Amino acid sequence: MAIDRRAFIRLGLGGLLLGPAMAMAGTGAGRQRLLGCRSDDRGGHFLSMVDVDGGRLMDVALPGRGHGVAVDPMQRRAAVFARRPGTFVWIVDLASGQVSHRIAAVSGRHFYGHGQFTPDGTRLLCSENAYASGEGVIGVYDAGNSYRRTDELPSHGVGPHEIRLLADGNTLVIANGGIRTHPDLPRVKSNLAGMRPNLAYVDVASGRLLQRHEPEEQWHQLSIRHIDVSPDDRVAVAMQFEGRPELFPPLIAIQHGKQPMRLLSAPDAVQRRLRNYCGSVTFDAEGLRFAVSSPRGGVVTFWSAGGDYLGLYEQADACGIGRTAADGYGFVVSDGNGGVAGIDRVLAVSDHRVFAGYRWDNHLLALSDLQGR
Amino acid sequence: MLNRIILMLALLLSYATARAYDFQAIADRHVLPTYRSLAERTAELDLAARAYCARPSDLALAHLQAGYRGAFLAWQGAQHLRFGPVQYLSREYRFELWPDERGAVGRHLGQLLDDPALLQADFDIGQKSVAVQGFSAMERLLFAGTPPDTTACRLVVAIAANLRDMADGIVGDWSTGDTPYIRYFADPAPGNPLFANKAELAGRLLNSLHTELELIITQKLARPLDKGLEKARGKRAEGWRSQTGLPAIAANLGACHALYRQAFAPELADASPHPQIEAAFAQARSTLEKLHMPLADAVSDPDQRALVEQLQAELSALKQLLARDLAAALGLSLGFNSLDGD
Repeated sequence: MAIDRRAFIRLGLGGLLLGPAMAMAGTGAGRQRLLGCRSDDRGGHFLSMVDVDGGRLMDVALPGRGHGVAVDPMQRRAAVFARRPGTFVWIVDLASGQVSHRIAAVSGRHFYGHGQFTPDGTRLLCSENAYASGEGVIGVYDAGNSYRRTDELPSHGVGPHEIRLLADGNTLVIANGGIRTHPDLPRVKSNLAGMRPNLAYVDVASGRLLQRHEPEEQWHQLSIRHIDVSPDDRVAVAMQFEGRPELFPPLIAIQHGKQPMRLLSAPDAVQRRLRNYCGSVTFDAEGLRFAVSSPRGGVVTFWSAGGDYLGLYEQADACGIGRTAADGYGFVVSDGNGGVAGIDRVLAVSDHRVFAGYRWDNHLLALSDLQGR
Repeated sequence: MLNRIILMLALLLSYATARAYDFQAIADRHVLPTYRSLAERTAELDLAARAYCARPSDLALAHLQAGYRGAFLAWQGAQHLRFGPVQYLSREYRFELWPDERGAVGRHLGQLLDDPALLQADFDIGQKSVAVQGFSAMERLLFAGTPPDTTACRLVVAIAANLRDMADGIVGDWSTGDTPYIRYFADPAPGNPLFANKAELAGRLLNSLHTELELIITQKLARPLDKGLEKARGKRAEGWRSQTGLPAIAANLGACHALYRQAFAPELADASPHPQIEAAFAQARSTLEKLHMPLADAVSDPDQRALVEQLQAELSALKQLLARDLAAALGLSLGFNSLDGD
């Protein structure tokens, strides 16, 4: 195709009408399955699985709004995390759609909405808040023993949100958002003036802090909320700015090994469209590129693993991003209007499908990927 | 013929200027005076708190309670402005935490009064729960039946200073510094990072009015009214301890009316729905004036309760006039609150 790649990306969904609409049909190896939390139009909340052809495969009714989802390495079980300040994490058997375990927050703790299975599938790690002191913690749950809470690690910061393990399976990278909350005041951010977010590397076996990265002082109100890790342990960071709205700080960062965190900005006109808010971040399967959603601005931006801005794609209220190598896609993006768009490997929109009545929440997982790695 | 041309020109001209929205004037004549008044009343409260705690007396307590009411009602007169610096640093929650469905104010206040940190020299209320930082906590300390003792005084003085500082901070963020908010507010245009055009900002103001009426109808009135006379829950009324429930609503409505007159009435130039909106504000005020009991008692009194319910219905009609008729007449979108994220 002779169309300039970036120009094509900017066409956004409008490009669909002009461009060749690739069918989302599976390739025989099984259709790409997607897993995410969603709400319906009547106030119901679910963990839902669909396939890219529009098949509605599973609905698990949840007691409240869900947020993040993690799957175990064998992709047999999913953990669905209540939205913060949450009191439940449910374990769902993906073959039967049955809830096998209902984990309740222990006294004095609430869940922050994200977690990870260890690579051997034996433990589930959850970001939590010890709300009396405001210190962030990581709860450790034993998958082989009815998800009993067996350990607790310090998160080495306030307000841990998304967490990811490095390839060694024992180094946990934690997005400590820096915002203190209390379950008595469900959505109030109580320490915006004094917040100190950080990206912490923690040894899971000992709970010891290995590294900590903070945004420079001037940007201490950049809440580090969502992260993803590439196969070679690069960490992509998506942030939300809690400071004055007329400022447009960098909202995206990349960090690798022992190097400092590098803050990234898109070109000015694009940067403003992010509305100081990034919702989720996902590397592609090879770890060469990552995508960041900015649902308030209705855009998804693409970046190279080296930190170069590659382009953007427009989709209203788009937030969830799954990585997939199946069916010629790079990413799959979901939105609050039920839309699911496949982004192909040249970062062009391949197809867009609407699941009527599905208000997809902030995060999406494409099941054939290795998100549990 | 010439007359008709002149008339048509005049009409065209008036149409062209009809959507003028002088946001500089809205800021100068409505927003800034509102916040300056809040800053003055909280400064008075701060003085009264320090005076009482330095030398407690019945007279000083009465003065402090009056200072509380003045500052609280000044806050109620600013509550309808739901954008900009009042939202920085969670200020709006720190001023007042209401409704407090989970009882955070009482619980967190109790914990803090038992906390030795309260008596340390470096005590910083800004580091404590949002629930203890503002009017909601102070009301309990001042109207509890027993006058504040030395421990409570620590907190009363800290809250008063916090309220004063936040009010000063809002005035400062609006009007001074490298990037005063008024610069963006006064000139909505392409390139303005906060408001790309006048309609967007006007929609934001309309949304603020609508939200305030919604709060009065569904929280301030509905919560104490509950489902019937037998079920009335007077202690759910905002400000029931200081008997400021109805004065607060009067301040809310007065402020909404003033913003409407400053921002939207000139655009309508007496055309529909301006007369209906004016009549609706007047009707609500007249009903409010007939209420002669504190809101907490009125909901349990058959006659007064009927008036509270009537006020609720009248405000719903006013809300409809703004959301539907005014929005349509001026081509404004109320906007929606995008899904709150994480």
